[in-house]
Amino acid sequence: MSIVVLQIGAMSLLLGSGGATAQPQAPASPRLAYAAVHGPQFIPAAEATFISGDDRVIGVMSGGTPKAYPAGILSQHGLVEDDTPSGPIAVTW
Amino acid sequence: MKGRRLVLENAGLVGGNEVFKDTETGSRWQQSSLQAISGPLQGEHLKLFPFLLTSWQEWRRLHPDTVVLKPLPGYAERIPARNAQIRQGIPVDRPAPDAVVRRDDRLKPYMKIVGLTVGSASMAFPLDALSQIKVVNDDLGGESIVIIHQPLSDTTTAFVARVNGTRLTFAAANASATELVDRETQSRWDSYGQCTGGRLKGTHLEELILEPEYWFAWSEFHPATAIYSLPTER
Repeated sequence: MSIVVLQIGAMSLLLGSGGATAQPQAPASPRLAYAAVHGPQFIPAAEATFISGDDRVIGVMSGGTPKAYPAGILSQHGLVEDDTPSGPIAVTW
Repeated sequence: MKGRRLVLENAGLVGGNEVFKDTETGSRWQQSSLQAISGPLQGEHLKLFPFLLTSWQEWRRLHPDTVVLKPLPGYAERIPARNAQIRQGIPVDRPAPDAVVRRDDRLKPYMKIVGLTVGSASMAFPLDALSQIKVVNDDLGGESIVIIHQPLSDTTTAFVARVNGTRLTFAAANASATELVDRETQSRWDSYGQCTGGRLKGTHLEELILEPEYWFAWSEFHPATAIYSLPTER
């Protein structure tokens, strides 16, 4: 919640192992888990109606694909793990 | 790590700074130092991956084709409140967390800084100072560096200030530091290291990865850090 750092492991030898496990549950109750996200999904910029122009994002070039991780999401999870062509990364807040 | 994929989970705080535990070895990783502090991988370091902390508007201007992390069900509703909290920030003189492993009173605990490490040398650049001066030409770890702060989008970038062995010295070409000019060749540059005009047109500066943090968290894990200060007025 205090700091922004992005970290990377080395190239994965266990491709595909990260996405299916430990998906944080999204309970129907108002209490939402502060839990890392694995296997994140992405939407086109035009569909991101939940952020406005001056909101903070962490931007990453994943190979040729630009990806934005909104701070307003990251701060609710602490950590989002993702894959890039150069290996797995963890986006942290 | 060593050819092995690590899956990280939140594991609380150490020294008021986030710690993550990998489910493969049970090692715990400190966010600010990038180092494993316990477990079989203790002492190993994760590597920083290039990233840009910026505004949504600026990221979208740079990359109109960007995709965006999709919020999980239930989380989207809370994004505006989170963003308001982030915008409001924390008072700079709030005391550092009690658990801080090493206190450094050279700056106020919650001052926002960007940290940079080159070789074995680290320096903290307070955002207060950067928002005044906007462009810093400096040396760190034996390397010539330039730090650029764009106040409108609150975006800070850093590069090796050297092209083909020649040191370059930069100045902002406008008040918002969205364009720069180098003194040595009078070439024009954008704030992302790309030369847009002049003799060096097409050249790209080598990017350095900044770590935006609060002072207390940077200083406790970078005890030898230097602090950038503005040149004194004559």
